[in-house]
Amino acid sequence: MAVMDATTEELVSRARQGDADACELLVRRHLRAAYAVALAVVGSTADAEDVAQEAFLVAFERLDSCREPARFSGWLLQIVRRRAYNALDHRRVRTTHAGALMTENAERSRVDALRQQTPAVGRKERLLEALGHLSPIEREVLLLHDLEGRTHGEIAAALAISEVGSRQHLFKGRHVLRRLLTGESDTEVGHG
Amino acid sequence: MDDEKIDLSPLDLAQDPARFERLVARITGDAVARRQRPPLFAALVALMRPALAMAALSVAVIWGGAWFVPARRPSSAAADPTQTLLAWAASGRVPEPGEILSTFGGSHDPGR
Repeated sequence: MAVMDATTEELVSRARQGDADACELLVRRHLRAAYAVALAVVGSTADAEDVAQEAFLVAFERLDSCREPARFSGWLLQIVRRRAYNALDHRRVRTTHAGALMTENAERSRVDALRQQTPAVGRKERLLEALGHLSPIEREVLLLHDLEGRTHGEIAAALAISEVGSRQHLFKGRHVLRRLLTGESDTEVGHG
Repeated sequence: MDDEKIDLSPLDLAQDPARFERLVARITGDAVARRQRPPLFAALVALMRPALAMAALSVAVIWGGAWFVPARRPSSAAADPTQTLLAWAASGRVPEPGEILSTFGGSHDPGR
């Protein structure tokens, strides 16, 4: 059977034996989801790439401990989340509590600037800024659903939450994000 | 209203195909290298194997050498241990431990 047609379970089995093609296909299939989860936690695209890469390497090293190869995605995303939160902790220590220095006024002006859609700020940066106002779980659900196209069932399994919880986080996340991005009509696409 | 997806495509990693491909190649290359790298314990065992073989060879050489070198006997020892043993039996005298050892090729250090 061609590697391209292989199921995740088969790919994991081949990757365990050091099959480079299987490893590559696993990376191709799951990199965007890993990146989305990492981005939801760390909030920076560069850091999210690093976290996703590290998580994949850890996953491949521990591939033999993946008990249910068919659920590789959920297993991988758990590793991504742990790595992302570790990275966040390290960054917090490095920045010596820079976040705590941010006053309430400064925060309000940031939101105002966001709403005014300062032309100098790109669309990607505006989205990242707005996502920063959501809770981590709302960001994870929103990115996995609206960016990665995962179903609530898949998200629930990956994030160890209920499907109802996933729907609630998505609803609230979208609501907050739309409010922050009011006036930016091109952010809304009716994919349903 | 909030049933509609929000367009997050600017955040999509695949928006920049070249970057995506570079990342895939980098992860795959490192991952395959790690999968093909033997585990730490196996690597240690592999390194230890020649060292153990050398140690075993050294022991064999030393023991073999000792086996073929004739044992030195003290000059005071009798030429035939059987004769000495018979002499002790005839005299009824109980030999000293040092005498027994020197007769049968051992050594005795009374200071110990």
